Amino acid sequence: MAPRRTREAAARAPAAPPRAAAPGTGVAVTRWSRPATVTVAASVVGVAVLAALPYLAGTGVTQALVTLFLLVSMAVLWNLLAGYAGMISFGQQAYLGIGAYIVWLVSKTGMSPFLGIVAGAGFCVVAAVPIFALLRPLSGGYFAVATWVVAECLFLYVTNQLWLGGGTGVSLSGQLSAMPPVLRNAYTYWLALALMAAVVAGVYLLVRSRFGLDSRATRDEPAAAATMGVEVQRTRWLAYLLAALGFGAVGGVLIVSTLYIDPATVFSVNYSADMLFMVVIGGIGTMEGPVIGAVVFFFVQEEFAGYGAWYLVAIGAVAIVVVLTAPGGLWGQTAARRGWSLLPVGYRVRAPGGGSPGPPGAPSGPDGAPGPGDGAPVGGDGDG
Amino acid sequence: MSTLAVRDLDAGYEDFQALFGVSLELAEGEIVALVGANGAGKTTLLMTIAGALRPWRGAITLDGTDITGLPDYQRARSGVVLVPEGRRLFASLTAEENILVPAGRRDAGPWTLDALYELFPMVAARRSHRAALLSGGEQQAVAIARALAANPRVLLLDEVSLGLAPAIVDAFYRLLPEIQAAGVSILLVEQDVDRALAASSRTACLLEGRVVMTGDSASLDRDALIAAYFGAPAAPPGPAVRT
Amino acid sequence: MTWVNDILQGIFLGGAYALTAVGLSLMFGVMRMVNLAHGDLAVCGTYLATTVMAAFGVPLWAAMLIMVPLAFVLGLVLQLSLFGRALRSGTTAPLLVTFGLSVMIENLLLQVYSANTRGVGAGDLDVAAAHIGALVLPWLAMLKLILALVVIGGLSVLLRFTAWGRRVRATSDDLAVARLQGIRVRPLFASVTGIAIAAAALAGTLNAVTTGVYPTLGALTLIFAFEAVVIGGLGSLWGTLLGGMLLGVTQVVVSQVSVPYALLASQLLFLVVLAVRPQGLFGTPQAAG
Repeated sequence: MAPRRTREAAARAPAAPPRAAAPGTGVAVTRWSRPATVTVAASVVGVAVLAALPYLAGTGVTQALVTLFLLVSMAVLWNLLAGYAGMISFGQQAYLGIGAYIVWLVSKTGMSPFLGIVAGAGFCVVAAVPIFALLRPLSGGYFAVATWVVAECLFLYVTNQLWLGGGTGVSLSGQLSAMPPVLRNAYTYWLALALMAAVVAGVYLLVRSRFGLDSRATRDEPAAAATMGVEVQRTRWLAYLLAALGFGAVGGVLIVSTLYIDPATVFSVNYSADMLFMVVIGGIGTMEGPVIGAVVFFFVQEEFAGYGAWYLVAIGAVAIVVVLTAPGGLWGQTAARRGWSLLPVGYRVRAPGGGSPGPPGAPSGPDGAPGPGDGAPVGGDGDG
Repeated sequence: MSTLAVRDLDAGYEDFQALFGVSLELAEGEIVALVGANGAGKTTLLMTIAGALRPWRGAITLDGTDITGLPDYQRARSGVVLVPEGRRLFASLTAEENILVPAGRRDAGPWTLDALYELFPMVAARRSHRAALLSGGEQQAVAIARALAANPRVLLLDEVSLGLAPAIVDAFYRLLPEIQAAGVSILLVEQDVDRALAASSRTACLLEGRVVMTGDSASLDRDALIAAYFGAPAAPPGPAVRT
Repeated sequence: MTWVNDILQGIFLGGAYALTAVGLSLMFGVMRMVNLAHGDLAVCGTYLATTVMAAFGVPLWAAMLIMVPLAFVLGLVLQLSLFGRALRSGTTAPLLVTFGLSVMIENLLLQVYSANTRGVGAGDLDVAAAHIGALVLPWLAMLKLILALVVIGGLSVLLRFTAWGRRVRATSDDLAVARLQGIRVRPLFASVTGIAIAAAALAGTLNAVTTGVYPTLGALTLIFAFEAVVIGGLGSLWGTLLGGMLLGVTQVVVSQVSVPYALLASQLLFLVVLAVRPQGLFGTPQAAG
């Protein structure tokens, strides 16, 4: 039975030396490409340049970039859940909050906030276990809203706990407040940059691994995947726990950068809305999409926040239009369609020999990106 | 002019082509049987005629009017009704409610609720029972009654005998002439070649998506048909046979 | 005797939750669609009612006579333009689209009406109550419960005894075969969504008489509606009623002990039901998954 993806008639696999050739057949399976090498090299250089920025630019720039780095991290992590593992969550802000509050608690003891971030991320993984165990049986929309309910529960709980600052929130003290502001800004900036690099690299390696294949199979056809030996449950668990870890770390960096949080803000579902917009508009189910979406979202936010809530209305409208008419998002509709991939995660087959007439080996389709919509059409309400 | 005409139909699922240039005709009040091994494309053909599947190429006409572009619910309303493989009743509805569901042409023909209960007395007896609780034979009766309630011009029967005891299947086949007499043309898919030949005036054999043999059921060489069924073609692909 | 009164108030509150939730329950039961904008659409209806009241100087009940049919039409339009397309696009599209719609509505309301809580005047209705011994029977609360019973009962009757109801149930059982039997699914779904939104708007407006309305109220509204549906069991309208009542009773009873935790208590009830019986009280075991 042919693959489910629509294949491009003129397959343009990026030029690359074959990585592995099945002996005697001349058919090669590649997982890499020259644009990918360029991208990775450029990213490494880019990170180095960005790391030097506190020495070169003012705090206005670095603080704005911190926001951008956190947005990228959140988008990539949300896409890990929604785009690769097929679980849409509107409750990841729960882990933002937990991570942030743990950092605050740790800093009260005088320990370094960096340790606090690690502790917060770790605690989030622990907290995620009973939460996912509870929510696991739910499907689709019900899972999504239930994650939201969990975040709301945390909000309600924290708001009523005076020792956690109640509804007024808490300010970060300890080591950070003792630092001179310039140093503190740099420290925050490097934390955010390191986190973003770790998240993107980590998620990328993860998706390229066995897990990536398993989770995409599970996302598309759980029953079929299970019959082929994919450990569906374990894959979902891994995705959820890793996302909790990541969001916990993001929450920790969040409080380090703002020095103050309150439950209404940190547990707000607005974060989930932002993640959804970034990933959907950028390109759900791809590595490049969330990054692009985050960058676009960042600039839109910078540019239009002055117009009040109208820009959110506009973004909501754009997201709806994208989902219904261009579900691949910016990246999916343009580059991925053509088989381009800056950060390839899939497997490509190259036909034997060069210069042979006839159709070249078909690529496996847009790397890991789900098809229009996200797979089997439900049938909806048809055309009638 | 034939009631139903299928010309050069190509159809499939996503990348997988299931039908290759299938042509078929059905005259008014005629019964044509479609035989073939599993996966030959019989159900796909019926689904495409019924409109559940969009053909890639080709045309379908009803009484000369092109219905290829019509969506499934409009084909049913125009008189092309499918009894799906495996019955597929509405499980939470009663037998009677199932029969009352079809919309559009209920007043256009002879198949009133009473007429259907006369045709299927076993259904009449269980009319208030939920469809999920009926026996296989009763479910099949309800499925056929449901399709007839739409007063079809063309009735598409997909493997009526599936999972049913031979005696019950005999009973269904005995009813076909009565349905035919009301002017309904029937295209039926049947795994049992003998039954197909006995019930129909013409038979077509599908193999891997192509019509590999057609002919009058009465005079069709049974051995040749069996050979075509399994893929040793004893006759070239049959052209559309006109009555 | 006060605990009897508390339970009674909880039941009334439950009626309000159920009325809010019935549209959500209906949409999921028939179309397998979770409308994340459900709460916001209820709030939309409320704002519409207050605007009509302010613009034409009419009392609440008159404004609602205008608003509820408009909400029905809004439901039709949304289904035909957005939701239908989303359903056809896959299983995640409806979530993304309705969530996007939710954000749009909230921010639109924020811009147009400001973030301040707006009151919904109903004369004396919001405080008037009958007293039977030690029991307090607020008229408004009873009205909401009665409406919940009327709407759920009415829908049950329509679903069981009318041709429309038959078609709805058939389509919900097997969409593909329903189409093959000639059912026009698009207008059918549109009518279902219309009813759902009209009920939500009705409920939201009546609830706002007590609490006032503000643009982000939709989120909490959705959560309670969702919880009532899940506790009661997906696909069961009467289950939704029961679910709403359990939520209401929990909230009122706990608020006697500790007001701040009353809201949290109902959330925890939901989580407990989820842990112990994920299909809800009246749901079939596979309904949740």
